[in-house]
Amino acid sequence: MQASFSRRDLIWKFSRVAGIAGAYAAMDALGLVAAAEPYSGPPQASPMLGAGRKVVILGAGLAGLVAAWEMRKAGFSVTVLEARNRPGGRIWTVRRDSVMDHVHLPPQRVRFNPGQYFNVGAARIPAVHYGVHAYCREFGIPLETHVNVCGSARFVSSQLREGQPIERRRVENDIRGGVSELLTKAVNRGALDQELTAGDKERLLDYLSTYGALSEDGTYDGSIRDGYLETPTVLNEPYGPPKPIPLTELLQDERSADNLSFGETLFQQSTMVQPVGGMDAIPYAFAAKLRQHITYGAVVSHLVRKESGVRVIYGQKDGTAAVEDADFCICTLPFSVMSGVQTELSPEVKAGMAEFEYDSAGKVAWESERFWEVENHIYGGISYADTDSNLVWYPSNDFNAPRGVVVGTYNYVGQAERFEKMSLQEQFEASRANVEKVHPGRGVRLQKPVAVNWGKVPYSMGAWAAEGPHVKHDTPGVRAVVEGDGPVVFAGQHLSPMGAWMESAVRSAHYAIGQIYDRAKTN
Amino acid sequence: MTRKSLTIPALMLAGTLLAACGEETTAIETAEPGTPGVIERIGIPGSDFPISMAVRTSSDVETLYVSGIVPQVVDPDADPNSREAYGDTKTQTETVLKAMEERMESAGWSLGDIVMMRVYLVGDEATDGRLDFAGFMEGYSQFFGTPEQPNKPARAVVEVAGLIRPGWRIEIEVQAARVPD
Repeated sequence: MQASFSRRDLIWKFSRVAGIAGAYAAMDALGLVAAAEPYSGPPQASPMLGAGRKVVILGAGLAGLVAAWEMRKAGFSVTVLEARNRPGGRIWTVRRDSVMDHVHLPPQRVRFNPGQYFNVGAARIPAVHYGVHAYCREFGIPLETHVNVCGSARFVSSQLREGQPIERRRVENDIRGGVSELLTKAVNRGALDQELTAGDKERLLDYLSTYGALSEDGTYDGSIRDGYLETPTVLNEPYGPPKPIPLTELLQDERSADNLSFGETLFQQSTMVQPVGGMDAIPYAFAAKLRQHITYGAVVSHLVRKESGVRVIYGQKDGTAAVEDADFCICTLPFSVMSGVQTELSPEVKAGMAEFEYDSAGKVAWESERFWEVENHIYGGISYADTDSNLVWYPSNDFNAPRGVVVGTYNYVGQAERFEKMSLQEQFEASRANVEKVHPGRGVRLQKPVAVNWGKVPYSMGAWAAEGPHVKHDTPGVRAVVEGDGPVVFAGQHLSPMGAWMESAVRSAHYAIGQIYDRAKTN
Repeated sequence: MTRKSLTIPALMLAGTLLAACGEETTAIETAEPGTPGVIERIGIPGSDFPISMAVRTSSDVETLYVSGIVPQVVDPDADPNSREAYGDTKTQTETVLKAMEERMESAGWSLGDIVMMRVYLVGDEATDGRLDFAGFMEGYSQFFGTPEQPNKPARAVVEVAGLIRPGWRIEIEVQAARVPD
C-alpha cells in the first residue's frame, strides 16, 4: 500500500462523508494527530497540586462533570454551578412526568408509560470514543448495543417507486449490484486497461462478482440480499428475490448516498452502544459522586477577574444572589448562553466567544405499539424520508416488548429552524405524517408525543456549535478562547474538532484541566 | 424597522374622559372615537412633568407587556445581595431602564413605545428610610421626555416593603403599544 497517497485519499473521503469530525477521527485513527496511544486518559497531577486551591466550574454538563471529577482527584476544592435542576446539559433523558421547557413553547409533561424513555439529546456512543468508554468502565455503567443500520428499515423518496417505502436492503444491494455490473462492463470493454494489468482486472472482476452478487455473465439480476419476493416454504417449492430496481432509478434519490453511508462513518459504525435505561446514566453517575460539590438552580450572571483569581455571581432558586470566589474557573457554558453573562475577560477572548455560532436541531418522539418490529421486522436502525422530519429512528432497547419510543423526527439547521416556528401541535402532525409516509396506515398508532427544539432550550440555546466548511476556527479570537484568559479556561463540545459528541466534552475537559494544572504549577 | 407614522386625527373633539388633576377637573382633548391607528399621549395641563396624564390607544394597536425589571450589579466586589452591589436609587433606576431598553429593542420595540409604567420603590437609607423619589426622577428623566425620546408614559410610583434581593431599591414593569406595520 502506498501510504502517502492512500492516507490523503482516505482523509479526503472521510471529510466529504463525515465532515471535519470524520476527518479528524480518520487522522487520529491513522496516527497523524495523536501519539501512538489512541487514548492517554486525563492529565495526571499529584493529589498535592490542588491542595489549598479552588476551582469553580460553570455547567454540570459532561465537560463540567469530567473536570470536577478529575480535579477532585488532584486535590482541588471544586464547586460546580448548574442552572438546571439536573446534571447532563445536552445529555438529557426524559421519562413519565419529566417536564420539557423551551423559551418559545408551553411546557410539556411527558406522559410515557413507566419504563419508557427518550434520549432527547445524546443517544449513541461509537466504539472509538475511548474517553466516554473509559468513564463508563470507571463508573460501571451497563451498556447495550445501539443499532444504527437495519436492513429492514425503509427509504422513502418521491423520486423512487412513486414514494412507496423501499427496504434499505434493496436500495443498498441494488445500487451495489448495479455499480458492480457497470464496472464489470467497463473492465470487459477494456476501458480500464491503462489503469489495470490483466491480473488486476481478473482479481477486480472476481471481487465485483461477490461484492455485487453478480451472475455468471457479470450482470446483476437481483439477489436474496434484497429479501424474498416469494418466501421459502419447503424444498422444491419456488422462492426468490424481487426484480432489482434499476440503478438509474435509485440514483434519482439524491440523498441515498448520504443515507447509505451514514452508518459507515467512523463515529457511526458498528458497534455503537448506549447505556441501558437512558443516556443520562452517564451524567448521573458522576453527579452521584459529586453531590456535595454541585449547586443546582444556579444561574450565572457575572464572571469577573479578581487580583488572583475569579469571582462568579449567580442567582439562586430563591431569587437572591450568591458569590463564588475561586483561584480558577472552567467555563463550559455554550457561548450562546455566555452572551447573557456579564464578563470581564480580554477583548480577544470576548471577540472569540462571539464568533461561535450554534445550530438548531429538533426531535419528535412517540410512544407506540412496536408495529415496526411486528409487521416490518425492523429492529433498531433508521428509515429515511424526504421530509423536514428526515427519518424514523427505532428503539434499540427492549426488542419485542409490546411498546416502545420511536423518534419520528430528527432534523437540523434549516429544517429545524422551520420546525421551531411551528406550534407543538403542528410539529407533532408533521412528525406523524412523516411516520405515515414510511409506515402507511400506522401513523394513527403513535401516542404521547414530545418535541425538543434545541435552539430554544433554556441554558443550551443550540444543539451544537456550528460545523462545516463555512466555519473558521483559525482566527485570533478562537485561539484566544482556546488559550483561556489567566485563571479562566474553557471546555465543552464547542472547543473540540470532533463535533457534537460526548467525547468532545470529555477531551476538551481534559485539555482544560491540563491548562489549569500547568498554571497552578507556575504560581 | 419601518413603521407607519402615527395617524394624527384631523378632527379633534372634546372627549368625555375626565381626570382629577389637583383641585381642577380638566376635560381631555382626544381623537374622535373609532379613529384607527391612534396612540395619543395627553400631557398634564400647564406642566412639563415628564409623564402623561393619560394615554389613549385605539383598539387596533398591538401591545407589549414587559415583566418587572430589576437592577443590575454595578460593583461585583460587593455582596450581591447588598445595596452597594447595585448603587443608590438613581443608579439602580439607570440600570433598570437601560436593561428595559435592551429587552424591548431585542424584541423590536423601544422605550418610546411605553404607554404605562408601574414603579416599585423600596425605602432607602439616603432618604431616611422613605423612597428616594428625587433619585428615581434623576434616573428616569434621562430616558423620558428628552429631546431624543420625547414620549412620556402614564405612570404610577409606589413604595413597597421589599423586593426579592435585599439590595434592590426599584423594580419597573411596563406596557407598550404601537400601531402595527
